Amino acid sequence: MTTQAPEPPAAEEVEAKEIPNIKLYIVAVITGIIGYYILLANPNLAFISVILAWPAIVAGAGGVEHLCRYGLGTGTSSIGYWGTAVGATVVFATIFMSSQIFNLYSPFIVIIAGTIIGYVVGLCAERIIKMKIPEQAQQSFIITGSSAIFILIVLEVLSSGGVATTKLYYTFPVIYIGTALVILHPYNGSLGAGENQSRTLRLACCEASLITTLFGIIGVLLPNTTSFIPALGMLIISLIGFAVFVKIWWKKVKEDTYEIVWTGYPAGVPH
Amino acid sequence: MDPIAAMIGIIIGGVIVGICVHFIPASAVGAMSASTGIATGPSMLSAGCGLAGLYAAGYSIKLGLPITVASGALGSALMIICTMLLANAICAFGTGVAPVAGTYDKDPITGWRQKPFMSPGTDGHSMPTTTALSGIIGALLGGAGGSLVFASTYGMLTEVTAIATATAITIAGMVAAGVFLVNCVLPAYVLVGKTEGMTDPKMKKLPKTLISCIVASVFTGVFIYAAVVVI
Repeated sequence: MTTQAPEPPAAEEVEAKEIPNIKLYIVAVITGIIGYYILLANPNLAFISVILAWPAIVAGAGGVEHLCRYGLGTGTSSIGYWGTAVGATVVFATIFMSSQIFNLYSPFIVIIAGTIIGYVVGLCAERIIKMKIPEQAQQSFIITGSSAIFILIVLEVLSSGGVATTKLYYTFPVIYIGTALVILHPYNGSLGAGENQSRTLRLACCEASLITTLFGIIGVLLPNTTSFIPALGMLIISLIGFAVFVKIWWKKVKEDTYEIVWTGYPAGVPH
Repeated sequence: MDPIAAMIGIIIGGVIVGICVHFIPASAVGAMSASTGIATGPSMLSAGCGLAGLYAAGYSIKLGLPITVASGALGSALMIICTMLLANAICAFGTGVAPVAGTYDKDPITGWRQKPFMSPGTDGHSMPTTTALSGIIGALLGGAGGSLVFASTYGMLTEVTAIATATAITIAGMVAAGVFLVNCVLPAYVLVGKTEGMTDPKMKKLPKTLISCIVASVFTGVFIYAAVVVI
């Protein structure tokens, strides 16, 4: 008696299982705003805000994945840097607003400005340049808005409640490049014939927690002592998050991979 | 600097950055010597030379706008000249292929024939004279555009706010890098990952880049002005 192997699911079914990026973005916006106001209420609760900032990186990585699946293979880094450039420029420019407006309305200003600029640039690519990528404008604003939310929360943690009053400006380049890398790399790292959203977004979670670990270390080492406790909280929760997410991601990698073989030294190490 | 003039400077700088990408020869398949141009994406190469220009401009920011812009343009051009020189040396002495272009039969400057030296199945290798000149023109434009954004933002910050000079330079540099990256990715969409510079037929698509960059730069410039000056 022979048993028939189950047929692989059709491509449409696989795509139907994917979470739409716009849903991820809405979650990121809501959690980002809540995270910001938690920080504003009590900077020492930064460890909660950091957890609420991670969905922004996941949404941004989802946007990069969507755009780059349509043939921007060599441009993955470009699109990541571009999205973060818009988000970072918006956040860095808003710190000159009056402190009252900055503190109260900043997340809304940042999200709206990041979304509008991202949408306009995406629309230019869609309508003027005539790129044949579906939903390009939507995915573009997902990347820009997400990076803006993430950078705003990181800056707020490092300044422990007052960006305009602290000398944080020298950390801007590392915040910018770090955020760009974690938004663009999940797709680049998972690139290949078997790439799927589930694995890419799990890698995005790993990288989001990894970069907040780095920002936590920077915050602990800053001469501004008020940011020590918030940054320490961020560092500890990010390390825990990183350990958990790597475990989840590695499990998925094992599921998706035909076989994992140790090729290093010593030989014959089991997995 | 007057804030309105600074905002116009940011917009003009952004548009110049967009134009510069069309001139810089870059191609992803250049990594296998299968195409003319430096072996990377046009936007990333432009960003690299533009950021080098920003470093150069940062040292001369106090000497006035013309010197800052000239310094940025020269810094950027120096970076791309070094890159092209080394890329040509690697292709000539490492891979063993001559610098030839796929878009013209004879080099317009030297008059040297191109086609007999092209490997079968490729679109050229490394950078012949005209393509290299195009790269230098592109880098000069990119460096000048980036430095104009940098100097304008710095001028706006020092005019409106009372922050320290070093801090203003840091923030202006980050904003300039952001505007640079925004405007150099849009042309990359037009070029689709490969260009030979000013001799490439894709130069005909320059108006598309121009309009897109004007729209993107206007939004970015107006937002920076609104955030720094109005609110």
